[in-house]
Amino acid sequence: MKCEEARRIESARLDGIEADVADVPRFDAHIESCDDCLRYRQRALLLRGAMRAQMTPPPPLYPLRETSRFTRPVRKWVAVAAAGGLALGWLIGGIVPQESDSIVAGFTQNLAAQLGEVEPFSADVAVVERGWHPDVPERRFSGSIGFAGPDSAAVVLVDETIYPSANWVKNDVTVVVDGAHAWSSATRPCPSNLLPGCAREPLVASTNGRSPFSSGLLVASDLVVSPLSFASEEVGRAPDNESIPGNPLGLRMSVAQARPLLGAILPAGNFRDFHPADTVDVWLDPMELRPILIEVRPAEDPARRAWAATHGYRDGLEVILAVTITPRAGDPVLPSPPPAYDPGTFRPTGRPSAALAGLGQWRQGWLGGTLIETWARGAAWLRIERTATDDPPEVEGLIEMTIGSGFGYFDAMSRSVVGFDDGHVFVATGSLALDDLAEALNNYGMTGRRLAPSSTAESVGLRLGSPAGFGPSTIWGDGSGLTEVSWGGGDRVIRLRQRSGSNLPPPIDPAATGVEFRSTVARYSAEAGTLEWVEDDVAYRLDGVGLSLRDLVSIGEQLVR
Amino acid sequence: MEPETALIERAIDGDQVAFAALVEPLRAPVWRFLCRYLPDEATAEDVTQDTFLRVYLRLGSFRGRSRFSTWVFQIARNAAIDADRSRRRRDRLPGVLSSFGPTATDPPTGRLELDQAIASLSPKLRQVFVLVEVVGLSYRETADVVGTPEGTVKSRMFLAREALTKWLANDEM
Repeated sequence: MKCEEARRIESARLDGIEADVADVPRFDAHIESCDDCLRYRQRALLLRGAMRAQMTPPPPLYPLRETSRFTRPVRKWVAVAAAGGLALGWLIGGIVPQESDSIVAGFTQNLAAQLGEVEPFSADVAVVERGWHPDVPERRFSGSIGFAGPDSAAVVLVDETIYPSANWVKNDVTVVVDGAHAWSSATRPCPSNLLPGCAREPLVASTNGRSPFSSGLLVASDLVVSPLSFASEEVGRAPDNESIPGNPLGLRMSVAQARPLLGAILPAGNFRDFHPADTVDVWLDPMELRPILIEVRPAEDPARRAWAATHGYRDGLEVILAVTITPRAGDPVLPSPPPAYDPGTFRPTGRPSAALAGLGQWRQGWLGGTLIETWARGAAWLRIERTATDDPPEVEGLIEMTIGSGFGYFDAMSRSVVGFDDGHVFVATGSLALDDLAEALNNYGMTGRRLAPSSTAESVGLRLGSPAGFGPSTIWGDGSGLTEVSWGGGDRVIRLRQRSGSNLPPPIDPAATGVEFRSTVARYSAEAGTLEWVEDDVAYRLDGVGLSLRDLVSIGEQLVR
Repeated sequence: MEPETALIERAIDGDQVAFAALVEPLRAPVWRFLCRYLPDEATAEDVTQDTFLRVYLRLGSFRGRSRFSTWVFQIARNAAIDADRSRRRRDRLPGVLSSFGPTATDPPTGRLELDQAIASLSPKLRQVFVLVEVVGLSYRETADVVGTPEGTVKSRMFLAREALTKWLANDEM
């Protein structure tokens, strides 16, 4: 048998199509003796692993399943915000939660002050999950979590559930990020109605070429401080819990708010889903900045019940997820890696980088033609990308800002600062406040040119006006409508989209609710963080970053013509 | 769980909860397909919205000749082809920073270069490869979606794998 014929058979076998019986002996004989075809099989499997590796979650009506805040680019925003951007920006920008009590506000201030001082930490973890499947009403897991450094952490969960039969697959999870190395082993998520038939084998992925502060698997700081979860005006006070020793601080928030924290504790595997309005109580050690107990309870409203029905959940009133985290002595020990790593994309260099923004030098290297340099301290971090090119970046929709004696542009969607200087494009991201990102680029040596946007919007319906706490807006057209963006203190962002039409798109979020607004009824999706309505034959959508429903309504009522 | 046909009938009658229940199981697979087929997540996001809008508007024309999921994937494929044809320059930093999005999102598998390698496949190979390898459709289901014989799907999968495994081999050097 020739190699091409063998590879054709192998390709089909990988997809579940067996070879003709007559070909099997020749195929087996060939494969056993042909190194090239063995390598083909290995590469094809490697390719499959890569293709099915972690992906950005699907959008609801408009995305942001994890943060319920903004649309795109999802992962990038989650990475930046979850690693501290919102927390720092919120507080450096002087926006202190207004409705939280003084203890909560004090904690968030403490959190910002100590973000750079977070110490390594390890703990045993126990998870009880209820309602995952009607035939398996409760599952239990034990394991460990560890925060080993700015870009190093691990979560290991061992499924101790006794399942009805051997057809059910144990949901063991291992996720490790450790600088350039990262690996994971977990079953794939699987809809309830397909269980136990799907998610048969754990998916194993590994790399030795992870770029610094990549969010593909796990944002290390979410295991400890999870700033996006805690630094918000939506956070309230959880009831006292006398079962927990010490003097923990109890915080109450929605699942939508707690996604980064929950995503860090359950970073992969086949777990149940939660409704964005479900209640999360977190009891924290306020000095060590880490959670001790997390409990999720179902929200009580008809929309939530409808959502549960579509997902096949029969939730009552009891806790549907309980996570107990017990610290243990000693430095975190990361699990051993698999024997082989996938080829990576990040090529480290020894190029020295000076201290910047009060942070120490971290990793640097090349990703394609882009030089990436990073700095970190505790859980705070900064990443600057530099790419040689003669083509300036498009600045349509970006917000111009002064950087030193030059100019830069703030991309609210990715929370990055972009500049173009003498044949290089610069991009700064990180857990720093916006001004600090700009200052970091200035100190890095960029003197950005002023650039002209390639298009402008001409006719518009409603405009943002000047909501309190927000700066000037920028507006642009994209062929299907207009988008206006404004940003304000605490790195909050407002985005108003509009297009001609007297109908809203159909609601993909079954939990969307009606809200009385501007003399009409708007549709609010907690999952997407959007408020939508029709006015004078124009369909509007208002969303943003760091905005509650109350904020959206307040801003929306102030729109001007 | 309510039968699919009943949900479809209710959705056609304007029951939005039924529509949501109908498309919810397909949201993730359609998203995975479009994410891998299209050049960037922003476009994939728009086309995902467009797909389900088309599904909603055309629900009355679904005749049940194929599985509902197959029909939805046909719509997603057509929406993706339309988007490919008329795609405007969406990247804020075209060319120069095509790596910008993926650099912060890359999972530990060389996602950036892998995306580029997949993008280098012809649309016909790319469609089939993504539907089989990412979404997990069978050759039969994929054939229904793209409108080709099953043997063609098999052949295209082989050609796509040939190209991508060669790319992997080069990357190892």
